[in-house]
Amino acid sequence: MNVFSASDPDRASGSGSGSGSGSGELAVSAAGLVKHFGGTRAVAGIDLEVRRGQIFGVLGPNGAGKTTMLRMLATLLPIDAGQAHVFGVDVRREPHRVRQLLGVTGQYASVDENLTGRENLWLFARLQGIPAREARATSLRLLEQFDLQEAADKPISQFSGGMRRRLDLAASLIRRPPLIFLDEPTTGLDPRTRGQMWDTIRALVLDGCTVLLTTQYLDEADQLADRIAVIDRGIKVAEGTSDQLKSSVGSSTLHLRLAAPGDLPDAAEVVGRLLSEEPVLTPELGALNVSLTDADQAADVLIALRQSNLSISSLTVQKPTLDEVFLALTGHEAADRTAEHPDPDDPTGSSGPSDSGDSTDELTLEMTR
Amino acid sequence: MTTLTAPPATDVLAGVRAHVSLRESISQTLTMAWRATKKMRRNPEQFFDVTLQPLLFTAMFAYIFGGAVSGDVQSYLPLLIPGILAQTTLTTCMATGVQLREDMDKGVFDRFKSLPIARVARSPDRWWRTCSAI
Repeated sequence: MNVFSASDPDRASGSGSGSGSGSGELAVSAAGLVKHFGGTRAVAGIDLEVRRGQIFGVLGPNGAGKTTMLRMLATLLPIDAGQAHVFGVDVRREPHRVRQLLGVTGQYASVDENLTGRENLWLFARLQGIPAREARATSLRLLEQFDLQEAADKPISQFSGGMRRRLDLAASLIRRPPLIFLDEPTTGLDPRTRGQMWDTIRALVLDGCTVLLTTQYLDEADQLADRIAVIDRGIKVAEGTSDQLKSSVGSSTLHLRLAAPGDLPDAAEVVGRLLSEEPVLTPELGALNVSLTDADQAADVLIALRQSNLSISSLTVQKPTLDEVFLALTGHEAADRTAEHPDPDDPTGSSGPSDSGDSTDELTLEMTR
Repeated sequence: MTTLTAPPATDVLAGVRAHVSLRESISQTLTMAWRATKKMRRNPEQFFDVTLQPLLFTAMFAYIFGGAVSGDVQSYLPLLIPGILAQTTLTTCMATGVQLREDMDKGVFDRFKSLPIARVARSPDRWWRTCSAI
């Protein structure tokens, strides 16, 4: 699907992160957002800052409050407490102006099932004050861009899930809004269609849009988002770039295998002295694992081993995946279990939850800075 | 690549207005009425409530059951016609409510709500239908 002519993913992702760090202007700023539904607090005080030209990912498990937050920012739900601004316009006070700056694509395709694709786009274009003839041209252009020409005159009820999503996104882009909210844009799509959706989103950012997307897919956030906020139970538990989140949680791990298994105790001593952390040994393999606070420490370890004449057969440094981050930050079960059955023999196991706790502090510090 | 540097907020806010003008609201309302007529043409059975049913009921109560009414049918009609009109209006209101609920469930209503359009325009097909019924 070729959208906005230049949809080269590499260039898109590279420039996206570049522009994010540039201008200090904010597309979305929210402070202490709160939403109650009856007795439950769906959103319990979330702060959010999205820079212009950024893809901002909101990550969280089901029911974490992602959609509620997005709907509040999109003026679809009244805000119970807190402040929200879109390009400096107050969401609570001037919803009408905010709506002119936004394109919202909901979790469920928000198009009219009784109309055809073309009619839907025409309807939404007309509603936004585009003259009839121009509205026809716009809907044609969008149908082409989103590869929907052949289905243009079919009723939506005959559309596949992916086509609906595409039409839905197309409907959000009629007026080319500077800010686009995507609520789980790829949930329920097959991998190929998902890839197309990602390309489309990247192309949007290239075109100067700011995108705020929610997702429960970690790889999606990893691939697309310049900055990620992890939300759980209505509060933001962490925020940062994908790399920051990864390095903050389980710092990278060094897997080392020695040429002579007998050298293991010596090697363990060298490594332990250097990193002031006890490595985990696997004597059967002549291997040891140790967590690093900084991947550069691997080089120090190598030099130290060389100096003590210990030869190695293999060495790998692994970064934690975003999955591990996600589980560490939102995995109540994992933390609870470790608290109930502390395992003194396994240093990595017991250090897991405390690690994640530290990292959250670290990240909050980083945010305030 | 030149489009990459986002314009300052003032540019983004350039064409943004605080209110919907009367002309815009009328145009939006007509657009929504267009949607309603499209829908009616695709599901004509819903239209029977307001076209066929009143005629059928009038004929039925005047000619078939008319004989059971004391007095003559002529003097009964002024009572019967408003009654049937009221009934038709109620039926339409019901259909209207159901349709609105359906729109909300399917998510189209969210789209309308997120667009910068006049509030009256969001559900004009409802009162359009009701008006046409009356």
